[in-house]
Amino acid sequence: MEPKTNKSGQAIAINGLVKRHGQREILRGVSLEIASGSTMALIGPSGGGKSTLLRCLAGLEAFQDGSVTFDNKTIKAGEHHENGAWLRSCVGMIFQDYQLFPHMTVADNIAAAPQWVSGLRREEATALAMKLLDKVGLKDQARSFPSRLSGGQKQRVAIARALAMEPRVLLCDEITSALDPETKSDVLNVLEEIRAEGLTIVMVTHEIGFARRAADRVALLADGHVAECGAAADVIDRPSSERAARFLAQVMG
Amino acid sequence: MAGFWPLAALILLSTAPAAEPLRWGCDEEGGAPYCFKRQTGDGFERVGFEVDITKALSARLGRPITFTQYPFDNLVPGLKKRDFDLAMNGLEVTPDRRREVLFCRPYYLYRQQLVCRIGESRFTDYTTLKNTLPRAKVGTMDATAAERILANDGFDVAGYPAPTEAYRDLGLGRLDAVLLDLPMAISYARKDKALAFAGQAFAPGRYAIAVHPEDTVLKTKIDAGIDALIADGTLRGILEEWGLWDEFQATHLQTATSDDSWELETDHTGENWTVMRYLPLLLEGAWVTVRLTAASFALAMALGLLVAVTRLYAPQPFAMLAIAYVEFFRGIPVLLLLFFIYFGLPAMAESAGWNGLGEWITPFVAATLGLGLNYAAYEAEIYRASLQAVPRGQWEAAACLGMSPNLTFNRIILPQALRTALPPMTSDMVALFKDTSIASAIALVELNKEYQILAKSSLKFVEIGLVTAALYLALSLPLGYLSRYLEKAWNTDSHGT
Repeated sequence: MEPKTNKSGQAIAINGLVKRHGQREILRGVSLEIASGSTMALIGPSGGGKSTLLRCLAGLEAFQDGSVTFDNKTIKAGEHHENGAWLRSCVGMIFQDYQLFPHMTVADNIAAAPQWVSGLRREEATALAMKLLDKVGLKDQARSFPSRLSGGQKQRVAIARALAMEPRVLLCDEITSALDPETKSDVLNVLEEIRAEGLTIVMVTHEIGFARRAADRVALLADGHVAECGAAADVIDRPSSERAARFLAQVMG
Repeated sequence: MAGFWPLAALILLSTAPAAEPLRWGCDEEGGAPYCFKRQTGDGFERVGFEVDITKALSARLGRPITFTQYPFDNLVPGLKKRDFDLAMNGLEVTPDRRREVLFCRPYYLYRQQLVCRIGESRFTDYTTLKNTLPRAKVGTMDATAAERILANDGFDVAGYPAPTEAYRDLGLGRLDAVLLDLPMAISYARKDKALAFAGQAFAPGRYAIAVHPEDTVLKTKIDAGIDALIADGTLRGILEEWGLWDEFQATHLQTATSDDSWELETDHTGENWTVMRYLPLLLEGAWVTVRLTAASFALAMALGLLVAVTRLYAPQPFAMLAIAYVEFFRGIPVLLLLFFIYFGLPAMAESAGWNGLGEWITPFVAATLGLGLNYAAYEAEIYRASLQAVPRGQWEAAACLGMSPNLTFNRIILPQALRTALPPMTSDMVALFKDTSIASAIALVELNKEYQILAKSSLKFVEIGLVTAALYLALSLPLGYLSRYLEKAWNTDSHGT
């Protein structure tokens, strides 16, 4: 019942990933290594391919060339149909717009998948939900419906919901973009706690400050390429490419 | 110019009454042998013994008589509204009708003829039918003397708009017997090899021409005309030509009158129709309406969901079929569908050598199928729109939690879609509730049909109409209230994501 966060996160290897929407190439051969239990922040200008890369890792999008390796299992282009479900079962995904289930209470949002997918008894699933709500500081909201929560509270419920399925990789797609500064910090604190427990985390973010503090490594994606990748401090403070320097100058103001 | 208008008015007043034709109200759908259309070489010709009588009468009166098509069961109200000048269509002289209109001298004495399927062993005539099968299902026509006799004797009465349908349903095994006026039995049942006369004709009565209660002059003229047609043998000739002249006419027609000195029918109507007498019957009809609404809406919801899901998620050819379903059933009138299911399907099955279908498709089954199939098309569109209104992100969030598409649909998408669908669904259900009245066309006695039967028998159109409307409202208003309540309750729970 205890979320197996003691089990180390998976290592991810992305090799020459190509993703096309019709004629448009969104990812043009992206290669990245993400070490087990590390946190990788994906930064870069809009339309650079960050979210698309994340969705490919989550098994929500098929890719046309290259491969993705989780620990020892490699998924090649064209195998999406067979392996998409396997990918989705490895990862927990958190969305910018939460996507909580509006017709269920907060506790049921979290307990649903453990009960229906993992086959936990209802009491077990509810107990798990309560434990995770405690962890994200929302135990008192267990019986509320999502419509009653603030944006930051919704996002913390979404994190708890993802953790309930014991993922070994957590994918975060701009999870603080829609939040105001106060609630944002609650969410980021929760994320830092999880990071300390050893999950592999890949996050798309515009929070350069948070990326620098919380991420082990940062990859800057622009025009479907990895423009720069390295230790967080190196990439953000001392960008080596002209493209990265220009982007950082813009966002840091 | 000043002298023109008085002059014109004088000319009109003096010439119009003589030249003006008499409008004859009659329902040619009622059929043979009264007045019906028969195919001739290159078209249709209106024929029947009443057509022949009006021709003879027209010559006697020196006035043309023109035909006006009018529903049989509304002939008396139509006459009172002066939609035509005389009603003649096998209209029986009854005490209650005599209170409303003026009857002229009878031109034919009808009797009731019971008809059964050939080889019927359970009864031989009306008396044995009453004794051995007191709750038998007996067909007849709406607002006829036969209908009143059957209702009074406690039979399960199926009233049809025309004799053909009644005899056909008897042949198909949906009825135990049919009781109708002898002329219809002679015209239709005698030709039908599957049917036979059961016993002698009984319960005599009079057919007479009816006119507006104020048209006493016209009545006197028509009386004289009929007298003359009887005296010179013209009427006998016409009736013989149509196979209707018999011993009974020969003995009694000469002396028959339209007043109560020659009363043959008992008064089933008028003052006898108290609230306590008709309310139980209306409630019985209301119960049929409620059951029909529930059954057909359940079918519409299940089928509509299937069609919507097929259209959204099934492979191309199946999705096209779903679209075709919606377009087809939205595009055809429900009434046509009901007639097709009730009368058409059994006939098709019979010609394919399968005879059981007619008994299985009762009016209730046919109405449930027809309304259900029709409303499923509307429900499908509501469900489709509601399913599409659920954000795509809900599918993705569920997928990332390891939920299969089926599980996601059943537990995540559908519950949200149903909330969106609820208000339009309830308003459809109220519409369906009222549309069930269409089922009266296939002899299902629901609330509206019960009203028609009672109102036409008692002629208490307003009083019983108000009670019926109150019953409809009492049933439909709570539905609307329930919808608003559910909508509100669900919205406070689940607004936004």
